[in-house]
Amino acid sequence: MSYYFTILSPTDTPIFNIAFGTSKSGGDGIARFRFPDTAQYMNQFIIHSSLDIVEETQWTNGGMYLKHIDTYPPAAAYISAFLTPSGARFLLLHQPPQLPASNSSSLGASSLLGASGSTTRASSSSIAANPTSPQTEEAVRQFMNEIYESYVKTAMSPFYKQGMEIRSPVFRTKVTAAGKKWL
Amino acid sequence: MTSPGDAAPVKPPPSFSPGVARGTSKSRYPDEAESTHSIDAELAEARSVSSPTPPLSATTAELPIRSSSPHARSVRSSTPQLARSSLGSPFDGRFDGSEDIRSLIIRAFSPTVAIYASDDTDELVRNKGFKGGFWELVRPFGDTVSGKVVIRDSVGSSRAWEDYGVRFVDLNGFGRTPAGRESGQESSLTQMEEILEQQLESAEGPFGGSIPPKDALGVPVASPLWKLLLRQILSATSAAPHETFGHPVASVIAISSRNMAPLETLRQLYGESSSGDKRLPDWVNSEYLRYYVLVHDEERDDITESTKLYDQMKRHFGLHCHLLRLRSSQCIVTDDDSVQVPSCEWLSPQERLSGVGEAGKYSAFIRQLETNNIAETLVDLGTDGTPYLFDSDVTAIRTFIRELMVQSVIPFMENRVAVWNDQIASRRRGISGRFMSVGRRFMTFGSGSRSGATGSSGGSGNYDPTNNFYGPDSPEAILRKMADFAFMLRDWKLAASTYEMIQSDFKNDKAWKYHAGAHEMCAVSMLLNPLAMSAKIKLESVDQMFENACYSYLTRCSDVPHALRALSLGVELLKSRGGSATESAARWAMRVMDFGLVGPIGQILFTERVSACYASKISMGGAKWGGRRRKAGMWSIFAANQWLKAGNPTLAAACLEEGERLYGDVLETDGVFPIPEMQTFVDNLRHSVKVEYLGARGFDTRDEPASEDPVLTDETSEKLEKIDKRNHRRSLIGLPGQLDVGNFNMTSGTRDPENSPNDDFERA
Amino acid sequence: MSATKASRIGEEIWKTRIDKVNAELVTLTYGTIVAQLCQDYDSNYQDVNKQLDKMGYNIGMRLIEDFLAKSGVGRCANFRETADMIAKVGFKIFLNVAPTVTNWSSDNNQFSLIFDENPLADFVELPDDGRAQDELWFSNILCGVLRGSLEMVQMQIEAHFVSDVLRGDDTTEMRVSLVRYIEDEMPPEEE
Repeated sequence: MSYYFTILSPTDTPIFNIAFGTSKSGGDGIARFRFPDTAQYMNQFIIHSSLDIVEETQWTNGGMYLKHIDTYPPAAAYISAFLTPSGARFLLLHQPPQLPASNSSSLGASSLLGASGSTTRASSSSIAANPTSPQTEEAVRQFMNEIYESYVKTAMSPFYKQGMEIRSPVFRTKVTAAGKKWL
Repeated sequence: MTSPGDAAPVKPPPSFSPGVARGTSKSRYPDEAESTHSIDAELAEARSVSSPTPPLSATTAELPIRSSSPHARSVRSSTPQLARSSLGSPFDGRFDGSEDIRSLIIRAFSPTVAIYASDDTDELVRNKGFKGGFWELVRPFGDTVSGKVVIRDSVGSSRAWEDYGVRFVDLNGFGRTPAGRESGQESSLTQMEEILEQQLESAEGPFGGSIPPKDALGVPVASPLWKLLLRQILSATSAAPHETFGHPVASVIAISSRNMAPLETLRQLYGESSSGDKRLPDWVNSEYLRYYVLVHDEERDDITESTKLYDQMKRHFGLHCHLLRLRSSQCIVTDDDSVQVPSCEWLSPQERLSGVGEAGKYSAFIRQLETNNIAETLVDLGTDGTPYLFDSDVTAIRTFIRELMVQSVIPFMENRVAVWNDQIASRRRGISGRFMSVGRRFMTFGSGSRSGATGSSGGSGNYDPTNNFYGPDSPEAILRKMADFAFMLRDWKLAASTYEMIQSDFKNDKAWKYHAGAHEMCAVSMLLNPLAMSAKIKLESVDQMFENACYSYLTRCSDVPHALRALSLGVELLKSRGGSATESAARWAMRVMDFGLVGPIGQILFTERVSACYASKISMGGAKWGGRRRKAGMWSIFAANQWLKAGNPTLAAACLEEGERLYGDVLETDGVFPIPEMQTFVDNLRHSVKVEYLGARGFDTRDEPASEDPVLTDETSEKLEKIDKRNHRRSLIGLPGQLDVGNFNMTSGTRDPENSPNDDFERA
Repeated sequence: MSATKASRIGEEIWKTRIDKVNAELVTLTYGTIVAQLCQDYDSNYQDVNKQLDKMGYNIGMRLIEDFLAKSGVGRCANFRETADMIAKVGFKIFLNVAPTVTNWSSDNNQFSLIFDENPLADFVELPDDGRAQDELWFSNILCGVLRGSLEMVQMQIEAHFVSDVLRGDDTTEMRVSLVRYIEDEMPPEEE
């Protein structure tokens, strides 16, 4: 599972980005997205597009943690969201690892989909494998809460201005640690 | 400006990696260096006269609106593109061409009428320039039955339809096509792709680029290319056992006044069609309406003789007869009352590729199909080979078709539906309505005497698993036929309930193609029924039905054309439902791409369609949320990128503009994305599209001073202004009551076009 | 008076005679002041340090009265006792921290206060402009407070920070040096 975590200001400006991979079940914590390295803008596009859903869900869901709210099927990218009361959005894109043996033929593509569907079902007990399982929801919730705590502290720093990019290495370390701990 | 027809071949697009180094664009097209001198000269000349190389926005605006595909009769596509600024109320324009698409879908499932003409009739028609004989002559006129067609539904209420059609098929070709089709299934997809390619090429030529037409709100209606693809998808599937749409509802048996033994010939033709070698395949119900036509040659034969014969026919064959009076000589364009024969709307990919669509070239195709056909060279029918008919002939044919449909075929179908509904469906409903499939089994055993009933466990025994079809007389087949009839009669409520009723039968029999078909059409008829589907639960069940259909077609039967048809119907009909259904529509479109059901161009068109699906979900009641503008914009940008990679900068430009328009509503500043990587990507894309677009039209964009360079000549600054206006135009239809978020200090909120770091690429 | 006794006094006063105020409010207020100074002085951190010290001095001159009134402690016998009084009573009752007194010079005229925690600097992260980490002493107001208050009790001292966890150092340490005892002089005009 690869993760891309972004905090967006109320004006949709990204104030914090980090990409990391799972550390569970032997993961080395390095993100391996399905897009080539030159296409990392894809993560941003997907996350940005999920704001459509966030904006809608935030009126129907009273909580701060909105759970898994959106999926981008072509890349099997799942988006979970967390809203701070002040309007910052924490968005976590998670993407299960690309399965091997994806050939370019059309039938290969279809079998790929079928296969990924069945794999997620087969190993639903593991957090890493199934992005929509209750375990994952819970893990993401813990992750989000932990980051929220750190975020509040960071936002309290007198030298931090609302909506400004978070450049604090302390915060980054804390996010990395939270990612290691929960995801 | 160089005429688009002279356009140089499009270069492969540059890389889109955001980190393209400065200066790469200088050497991007080294091979172009020599060939550009003359163009440079031309350009220089142009510069001295007026502002050269208008910015992309201006250039695209000048482009001719994409003329509709040659076969579309849509008036709308010729509607001038209205400026967005001229729109009136932003809310009365919800119409986005979905009615158009809906009509297209409904007409795709028109009743089929087989044509079986005597040799003398075909001979007569061939002399008029229609190599395919009588079938070819009447076929194009079946696309729309003139005047209103009134249909009564199962509960007795009538409704008039303006757009009713009938599909004429050649009885000669009928048995053969499905047999040859099994092998040709996959190829129908490659054929579709080929057609799209051809269309694109021709669009680059005479059409000079194709910008999707827009309605008054600036929302693009379905692009003609998409409609072309959709029409291909809907006509790629021909008659098959598991559905009766391609099966003849009636058969027209035609003789001409030249015939020496008319009644005998009619009997002989009837005999051949019901038992001879022209007999339809076993899976087609042979109880269909026979309709007898006497074609009278106005020029050579005596009308009194023909009238006499016609009266005789009526005595022998009843009321399903028609006297069609045609002139036997060929009409040419210079004749006073010449009328151009319309082109067929519904051509299978194979036919379209062999050029049948461009009427007059039928012979090529017919020769392929019928080896026994005369190898006559094409008679010159006019400058462009389009056949013409005399006005009187056209009127006669239209009248004939109207009479055929209104007086015979539709009453016949209404009658069959009523009878089957009464005799089979209602009995099933009565018992099994409460007891479901248990009741059904009682019922089948109760009336089980009808079949040989080898009674495999759970199955009814009416299904023949070796040949994969139900006997046409089995209740399952008849119920399916009844549902199809109801569907074609546009009684979607009855159709949906009937399809729903037989789904489980097919499942029990493991008749997977039937199973898929019933789910597909059940979902489609539910979506077409304007009254149904108020609740959200229904939407879920519709989704489930498409899921089942797709799984059975694809995984169990590997039937790609039908799966593609089912999903495309789902996309379009869900989209036209609006609201949350549009998201399902987008998901199904993505599934089509994911399954790889369409070729590369098809993929791009589906990408555009995903965008259109999301774009049609709009926010409610002036709220800022609820729309899917970002998603729509994203997919449009992706489509632009793909068009560019496919070497079509014109369409890329159109998609890009559409994407920016969609994003316009959600971005603080128009054209300025808050997320830097997105900004870089879009900027690069914008630039590449411009380079390619102008490059394809013979402009040398390399030596031109970079348009956003701070040091500007007068003319480029003029241009810069235009670009800026475009980039920073505020959306005119911005929703009222937008949240005020102005208090936040946005670091990248304003982008100075002159020294933004993002413009490095452009300066290269 | 021993250091432990001083601690006891400090605890006692903190528990019984101090009106408490929300720590975040203090922290945010102080942080805002520093941030504003940085802005006003255009990130000239030497000037900011100076200004903070001056503000602290003005606070200290007033605060000493309150301190004496609340604590009721008498005159200290020597500078070591003063150091304990500052660390265990003064910081305790005003900031609820008790820095460690250590690193005495041989002449008993210089010592260090090691702060394990610093309520003023909670949440704070110095600007990452590449200079603040080296130049700004975020809590410099404390130096001024000590200077101001001790001056009121006839001790001229010099105080400055030598390390700060905010800068990435391991500890936060303030060095305090006694310059001289002021004999029967009138307090100078406020600076």
